[in-house]
Amino acid sequence: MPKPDDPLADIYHEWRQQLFTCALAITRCQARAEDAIQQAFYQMFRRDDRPNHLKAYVFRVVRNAALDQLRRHEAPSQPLSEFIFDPRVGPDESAEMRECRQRVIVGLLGLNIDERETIVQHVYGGLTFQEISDVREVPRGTVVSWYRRGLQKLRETWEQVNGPV
Amino acid sequence: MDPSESLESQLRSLPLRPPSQHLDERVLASRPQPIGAIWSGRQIPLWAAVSVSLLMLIAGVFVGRSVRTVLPDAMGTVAGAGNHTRINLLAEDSSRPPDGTVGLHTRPAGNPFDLTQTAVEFITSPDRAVVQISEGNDL
Repeated sequence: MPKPDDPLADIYHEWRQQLFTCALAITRCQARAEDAIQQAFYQMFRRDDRPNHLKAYVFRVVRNAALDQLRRHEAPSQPLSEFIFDPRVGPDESAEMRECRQRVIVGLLGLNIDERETIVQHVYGGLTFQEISDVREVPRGTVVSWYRRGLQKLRETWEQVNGPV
Repeated sequence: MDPSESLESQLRSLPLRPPSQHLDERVLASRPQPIGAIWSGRQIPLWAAVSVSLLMLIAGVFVGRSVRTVLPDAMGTVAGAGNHTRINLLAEDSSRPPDGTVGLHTRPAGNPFDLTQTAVEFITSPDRAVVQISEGNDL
């Protein structure tokens, strides 16, 4: 069992769902997203020079591993139709909620890669704009711009179907 | 409420696909284990350690005794396995080494790997030397 005071293990336990979601948004394949996370932590556990801001560092290494998975393998022949969302239907999930989820998926997949990844990292990954800037090594203003533009496109898609938000 | 916040809250309300249960094991197992940790928590019971030690002691005694019975004694005979001589001296009067210093100890066959024959040259006087040739399996 890992030492409970290992900061990397703590980060994993605290952010595993968010890390998985961000990796899944890149690979569009559950197995490859998990491979990327394992590969990233395998590397990080063996490095002694860890930066002070561990959370952004972990997200960056996992993202790089996911991109590496994408480069090394062909795109999945059948990418997950539910994207990053849980395909299991809960007992209290209404038809309206399912439709809402489907529209979000269509809207997210209609964005360009930068906008989509920024929205996933901020909304589902729990990263601040500054952390996204650190993870992707781009200026914070660029990140904010991607996010606002992506959200605007999503809102327009949404309003075309459901009316004003 | 700000339209952006409203949309964000709707996005956040959607349940996410969870990772598989094996991911935790895979990630945490990828940690390098210090050597000491391999044995930590694996204490060997005292009775098992004592039993193994006793077995090794008994086995050692038996192996030692069996090995000792086939070794030739100082006279070239095999103790406990009959009184036949394993080292046959070619010369009848050479049962004991001649008086004198050993001048040369060689392999008379010329083959340094032939361990069945040996020749010892004893220098008995300034103008005389006796060569004793022996053959056998334990030279």
